[in-house]
Amino acid sequence: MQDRDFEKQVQQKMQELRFAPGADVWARVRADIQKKKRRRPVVLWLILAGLLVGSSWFLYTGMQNDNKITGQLPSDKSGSASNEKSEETTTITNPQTQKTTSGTSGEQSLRQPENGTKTSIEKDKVVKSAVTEEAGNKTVSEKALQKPQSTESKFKPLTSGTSKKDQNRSISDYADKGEQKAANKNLLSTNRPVTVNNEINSLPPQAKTEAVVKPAENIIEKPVVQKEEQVTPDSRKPDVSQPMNPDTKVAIASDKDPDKKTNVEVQVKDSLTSPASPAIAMKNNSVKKKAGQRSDWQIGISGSIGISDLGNEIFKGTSVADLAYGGGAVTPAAPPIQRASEVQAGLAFNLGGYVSKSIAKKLRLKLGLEYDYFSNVINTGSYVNSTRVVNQGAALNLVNEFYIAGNTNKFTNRYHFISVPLSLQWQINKSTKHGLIWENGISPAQMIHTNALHYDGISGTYYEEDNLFRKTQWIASSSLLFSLKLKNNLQLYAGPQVQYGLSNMVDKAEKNKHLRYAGIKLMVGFNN
Amino acid sequence: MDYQKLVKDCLKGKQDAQRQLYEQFAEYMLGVCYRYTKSMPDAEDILQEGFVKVYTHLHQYKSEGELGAWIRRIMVNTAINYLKKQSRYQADLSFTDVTLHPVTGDNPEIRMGTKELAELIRQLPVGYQTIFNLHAVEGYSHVEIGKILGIQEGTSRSQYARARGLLISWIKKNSLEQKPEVYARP
Repeated sequence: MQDRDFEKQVQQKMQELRFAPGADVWARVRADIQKKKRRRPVVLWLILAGLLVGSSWFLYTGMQNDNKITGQLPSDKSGSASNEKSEETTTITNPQTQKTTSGTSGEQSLRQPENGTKTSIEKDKVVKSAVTEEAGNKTVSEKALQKPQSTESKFKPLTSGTSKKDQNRSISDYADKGEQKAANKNLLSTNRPVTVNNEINSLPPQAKTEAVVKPAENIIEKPVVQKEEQVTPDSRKPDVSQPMNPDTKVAIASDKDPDKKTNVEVQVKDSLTSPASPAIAMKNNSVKKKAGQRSDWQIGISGSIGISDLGNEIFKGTSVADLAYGGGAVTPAAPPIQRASEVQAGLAFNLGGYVSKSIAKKLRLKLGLEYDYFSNVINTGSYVNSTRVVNQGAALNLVNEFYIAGNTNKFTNRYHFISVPLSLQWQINKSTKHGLIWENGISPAQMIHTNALHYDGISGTYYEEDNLFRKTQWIASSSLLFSLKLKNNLQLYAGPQVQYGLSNMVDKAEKNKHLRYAGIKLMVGFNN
Repeated sequence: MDYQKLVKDCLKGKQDAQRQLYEQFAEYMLGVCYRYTKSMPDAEDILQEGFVKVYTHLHQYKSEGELGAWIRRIMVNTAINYLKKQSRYQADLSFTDVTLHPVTGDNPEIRMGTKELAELIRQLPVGYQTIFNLHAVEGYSHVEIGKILGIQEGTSRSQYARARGLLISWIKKNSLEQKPEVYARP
């Protein structure tokens, strides 16, 4: 007892030991806290900013591509002035074409040969060749023009090889064959959607492809007359630069059996009754979208709720990582006091936003930013707020608080992540309204906080130590989603989802501490 | 003082509360840090580092325990890590001598003041000083000290016995030197 008197005296004396710290110490403490506080949001903001910039760039480039195709709209607009000139010229040289050229669009001026030596006769040729024989019907303007035989002979091959059935195909016929998108783009570029559609319809397959791939070239770069001279009969296309006024079209319709009016004809009539302008073209485009076309871009919010635990085998759980034995790599110094608690499933959810883009007919690429919460439940003994040395493989560590081994207490291990999921959506069925989508992806996930406990089997201690976790996880995900189109631009997705952490959660632990999740996923997407 | 409220306010990021917590414990904790080092600037560095840890890990503090004891443990851990990291202390913490030295049964009465005793403890070699502080003041067992410092339990006992013997001899010497002064100034 006397031996401890000295120590007691020292303890008592040292309890009274106090020094006033320098004035700058608090300032330094304060600065360090601020620095640490600032560091975390900066990382988060950097991730957010990166995602925002990335998605904005994708959106911008996506829109730029669309504009490249629809870029003829402003040209058309500007071309309308020169169009007046061309109308004037045509009227002077051949008054009979007045009816045909009235209401012409800007394309005609764009197709106007730049060569000033072109004669009015050539222009007549242009006008005549532009008039198509739709399903064997001759337009009024064509009849009125009394076109020369030579011109007609040039013109005939254009429709040869194109069946009446093909010509009468409506836009909806293309809906499921990936042609509608291209067709619509051409609709935009020519300001006269249906005429172009007819053009595509009337083409042989090879020429049809050319028309879709090179719309700008067809419209702007090559004057029609030159083109007529160059193209072979197989690849020739009917010139669509020649406008048709409503009267003309009505005549077409009435010329044949009125009952045989096709969708194309009806739409031609609709489009021709309105002035050709970019606004109308946009309107036409939106009408096409309403008809069921899939939008290229989609932004939305996504969430999922379910359960999570640890393990690496289906239907087989695992126990808390016993780090005293270093995952079997270290020979145990002593047998465990008690086996580590089994890990039971706990609540898990995630919430975030995404942007997706259609990359193929049935494929969409999706990039998101999510907050993920995983949890699981373990059994522990009572909490002790004291210092204890714990074994971590060959190393030792001092902990300030811990739980003793036991079954009296339920402890919830919580894991908070920020992840950037990248996934591919594949639509299994063909329906545009009720889709069945299989989504697979992978996401790098950064652990931002956890309270999860490790176990020291030698001392029977559950303790907290953040640094032993692998903070960066790669999580694979798979979900089967049922999609429902609610409104024109609103789409709802729901279905089961499973996730699996590809790397072990804990360093130096047995290799079966992988994050597992199963739940229900819900997404709401807005098409642009 | 309502420490629970203080902790809650600190967790909310209130600067006033953080300052109040610092002022409440800084002087005592600097005394703790001072015992483990050889200079006041080093002690202040440990205090600074320790308080940053306190604020960043305050959410881990469970209200069941005493706040002062929790902070003190953090300070001691920080001090040990500081000594291990600093090159000027590392050599003295190597503990190559494992010869057992029995603890002397001498228990002199300590008549000197707190700061004088602290100065004497600080005069010990770093290894002795650390082990003496951990065992005599903080109350760690030699097994625990062995694990903390990565040494054998026997080494800890031996070092402690030497430290204790040295300190007692210094205290005795100091008492003898001071006696005339004490009697000279009644």
